[in-house]
Amino acid sequence: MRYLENIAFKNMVTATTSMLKNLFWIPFLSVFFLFSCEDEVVIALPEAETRLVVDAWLTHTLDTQVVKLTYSRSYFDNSSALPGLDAEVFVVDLQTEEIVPFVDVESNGKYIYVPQTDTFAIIGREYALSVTIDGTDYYSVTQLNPAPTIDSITFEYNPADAFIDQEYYIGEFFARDFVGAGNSYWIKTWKNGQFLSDPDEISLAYDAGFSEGAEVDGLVFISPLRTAINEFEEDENGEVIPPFTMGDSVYVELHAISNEAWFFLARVADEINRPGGFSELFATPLANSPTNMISSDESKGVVGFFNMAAISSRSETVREETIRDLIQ
Amino acid sequence: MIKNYLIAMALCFATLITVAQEKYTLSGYVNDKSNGESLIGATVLIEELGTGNVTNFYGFYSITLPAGAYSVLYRYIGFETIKKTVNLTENVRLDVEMGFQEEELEAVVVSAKAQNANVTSMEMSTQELDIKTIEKIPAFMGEVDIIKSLQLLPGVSTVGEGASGFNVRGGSVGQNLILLDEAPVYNSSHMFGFFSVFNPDAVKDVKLYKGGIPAQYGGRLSSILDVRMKEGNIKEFDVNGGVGNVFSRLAIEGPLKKDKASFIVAARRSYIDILAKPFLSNQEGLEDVGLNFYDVTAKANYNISDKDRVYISGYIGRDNFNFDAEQGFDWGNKTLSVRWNHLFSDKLFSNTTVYLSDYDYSFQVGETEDDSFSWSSRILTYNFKEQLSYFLNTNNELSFGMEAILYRLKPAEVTGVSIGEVTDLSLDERKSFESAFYIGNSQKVTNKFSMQYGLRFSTFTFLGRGEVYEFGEAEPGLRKPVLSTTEADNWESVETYFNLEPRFSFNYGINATTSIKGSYNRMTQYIHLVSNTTASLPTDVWTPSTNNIQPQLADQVAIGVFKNFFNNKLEASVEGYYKIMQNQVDYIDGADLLINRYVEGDLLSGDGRAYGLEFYLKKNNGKLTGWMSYTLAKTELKVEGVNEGEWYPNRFDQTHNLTISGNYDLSPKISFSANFTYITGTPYTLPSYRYEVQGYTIPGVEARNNGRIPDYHRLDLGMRWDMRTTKSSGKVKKVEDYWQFTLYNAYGRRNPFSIYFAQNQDLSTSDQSVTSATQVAILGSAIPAFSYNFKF
Repeated sequence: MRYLENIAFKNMVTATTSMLKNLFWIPFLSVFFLFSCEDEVVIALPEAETRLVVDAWLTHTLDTQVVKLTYSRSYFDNSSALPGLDAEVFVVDLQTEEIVPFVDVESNGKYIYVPQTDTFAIIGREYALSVTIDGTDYYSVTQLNPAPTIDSITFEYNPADAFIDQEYYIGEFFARDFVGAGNSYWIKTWKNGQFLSDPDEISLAYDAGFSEGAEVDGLVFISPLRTAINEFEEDENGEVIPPFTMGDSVYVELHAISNEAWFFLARVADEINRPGGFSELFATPLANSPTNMISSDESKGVVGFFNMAAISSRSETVREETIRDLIQ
Repeated sequence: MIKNYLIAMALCFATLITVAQEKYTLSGYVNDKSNGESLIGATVLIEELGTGNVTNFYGFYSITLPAGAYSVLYRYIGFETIKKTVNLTENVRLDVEMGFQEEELEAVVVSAKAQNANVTSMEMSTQELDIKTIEKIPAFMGEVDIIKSLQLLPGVSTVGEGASGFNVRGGSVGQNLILLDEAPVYNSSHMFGFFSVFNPDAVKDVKLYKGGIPAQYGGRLSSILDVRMKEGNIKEFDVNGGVGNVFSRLAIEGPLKKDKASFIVAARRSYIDILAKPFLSNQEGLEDVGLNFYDVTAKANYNISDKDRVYISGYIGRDNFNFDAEQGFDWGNKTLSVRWNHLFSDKLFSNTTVYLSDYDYSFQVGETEDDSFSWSSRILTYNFKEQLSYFLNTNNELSFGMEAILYRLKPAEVTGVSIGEVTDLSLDERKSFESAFYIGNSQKVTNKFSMQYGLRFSTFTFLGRGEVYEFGEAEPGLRKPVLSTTEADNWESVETYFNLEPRFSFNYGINATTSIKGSYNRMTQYIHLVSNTTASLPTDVWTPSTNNIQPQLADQVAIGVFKNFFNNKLEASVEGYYKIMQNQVDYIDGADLLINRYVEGDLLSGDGRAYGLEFYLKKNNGKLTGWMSYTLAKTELKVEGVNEGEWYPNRFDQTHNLTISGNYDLSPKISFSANFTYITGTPYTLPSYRYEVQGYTIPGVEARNNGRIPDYHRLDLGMRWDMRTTKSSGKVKKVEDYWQFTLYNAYGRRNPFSIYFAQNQDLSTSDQSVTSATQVAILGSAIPAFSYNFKF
């Protein structure tokens, strides 16, 4: 289950290694971990055919909705992706068969739709995405699911410790999963307006827990999910930056994604969260993140994902009213 | 094919029933004079007939001969050969005690002794290591390690430092049955894979079967590792111990009742956490951080009578990794086995074993009771085993018996608490019952030709209570959908499997120093180690065969030439093997193997094949001893939905594997040792393309295991320095002690463990992440170590 893989092992190992960077003299751990080392290497990769990339994560909000089309490129190609131009893109409400067209206004592969007075989608309905480009049709179907509200965000005071050399706060949001198994969520966090975009900051919930096979239904999200809104970064001196200090702000979004999207993002998190070093012992082999897009022409590959989600959100700042007293 | 085999076997057994003339039996135990330990595999040779027998795992032998006077030779490597004259006019019981060879005599004795057992014995694809050899090998951190030593032998390898267990002839770690005094040990490593769980002070004999596996063994596809513990000195008290970089060790053995009963207790503990304690205690948040591992091995035996002997052996090992007082991770094995050796007659030896094996791990996180998560997983194995050997005559030794195993697999007992609300995430306990009946015979057909043949009949029943799932067809890359869930009653049989496992080996002696050996065996494995991480981990889950998971099957043929040179000073062998495996367990991409009630839906089934050539050259005597081993091998999998259903190399495919291990005795006080290992890099999966979704750069994969990490090579050096055995006054010192110095990875090669692909995902500085490949070495430098060892 992801709990152990992501939270425990990888974080344990990253915590251990970052701890070691600060406290290299701890002999009992250094004996084992400091011998590991890394070298950047150049690898010849097999040639791959180009695939259409669909990046369509639409939300039940008044924000501008974007379907981004690009093309895949060789793994080590660090240039910008080529945009998918001159495509016909629309979303269909499968109940009313109403069509919402998306238009590439700036000719950069970003097909947009700007909701005017109301959101274009209705919770509980099914929607299809259709993309036609270079004579090939690509499509996918998803359902728009509701999101539970975020009831509160609080902060817990911590004195300076061996890892962080100043007082700091650990943020925690509270929301309750809907009753009934099979809800999946993507929790996105912004700290002081900055999106936490690191691979190890992808936070996914299946019901109130971590995965489908280990059912935690209808509860308040379990503690590691609630506190996954904290950023643990090191500064250039290797010192851990406090997750929150007095006056910091946090903004949390709870996206009600489909089960397929949950699996896709869980796969992505597994593939791209590679802390390296000793944690390679626990790594799983590289594998694909399965798309839900279907190509009408089998010879023309497609990757990426189409999802529609309702969102609930909340923002908060670290101030006296939001700091929980420590129960020691 | 099996039917024909049965007929052939029946015919073979039929030839055994011949009318006996006047014959008597010579039988007994062969023991070490110095401490009373039974000697496993000692040769008992009837000089007049040029034939004989070998002592079994309990040091027992039995030979039935026509009446007459015989001279009998008892031989064992490193021991003085004993010659006894026996007048066989009735059944004779002769227990023999053998003493160490005096060192001065060695040169003379060596030439007088023909040690060609490797050529003449039935066994092939078998490796035996005695603890003295293992102790000489320069070890990682100076800690003598049985599993690491095995990896220097042909056909045995590992995927890298830190990986637990070992791989035999291309098989996975979970395809090895590791027995400690007959009880299975599910995890053979401490500290992930850095140290093995066996305390060398308590180990007497290590034997690894890679092929030609006798009918008494079963339950795993690739190999059987049979580790036998010392019985304990029956003559006098002995204390052994040592202080190393990682462990401190202490072993005490001695008689409970002189010449009747003895015991041994051996314990080890890592102690660096104790040294670190003062440094940690004043660090906020680190006061309770702790890492330690320990094991305790204990055994006692009692000679009730000439005919009965009982043994009780136990083992407890544990690894603890605590983040603080409430949070941590720990795992370990416990085994307890009780054995009773009974002689029904001079010819019929019986061993009855009852054992319990318990492997568990647990994991706790959460700083308060209201928000916590605890998880434990456990495998309980109960076993009853009856093994009988019937020493029919000098040409036939019949073995038969049965085994009954009850498995209780508790994959997850999990409690999650979220702001005081408790959820139970536990998965159903999986019960299953395995049984086996076997019969085999070791037959000397002519002086040149001998065979061993047998049949094992095994059954496995997957039992309730618990949820039973039916799954739909798998779409490539996706988990199988659950079609239906039914509830099985307690002890209800859900699915039963039967298998016949024929075993056959032969030895054809061309001359005294050359033989050809061949073998065929079928193995069945009913419980499966499920792991999709690079290295095998303590948290890997064992799952039984169910209505969805078929038992694994393997058929292996092996053929080899064994030849000794220079009066048996140099042993050489070449073996080729070909193995076909069915129902190999594989995984969908992104399989969720832990705490997943639908785990069967994430498993795939495929075919496997492995083949290779193993070369082995060994020098046993003289100042320079050691061996060279080279394996050329290939091992592949074929799974529908993976690599377009084509054969592809599995994670353990290592084309070349070369090992040289040597020991040089400079003087009686100082000896040097060295190992060199060269292994082809293991396969791994390369990304082919990249794409971005929601700002994340995602690797695209077109095939599995389509790349190889660079080759692995390493040199280890060691020196042993024995302290003076006499005091300055000329008196013999009570304590025998020595220092051991080792330098692991002497030239500090950064041996690659894996290569991973990642991107700097820092989108605050640019909107384009940069991809790169990074090679990881788990141990990237030379590691010196020393230890002090004593005995008194």
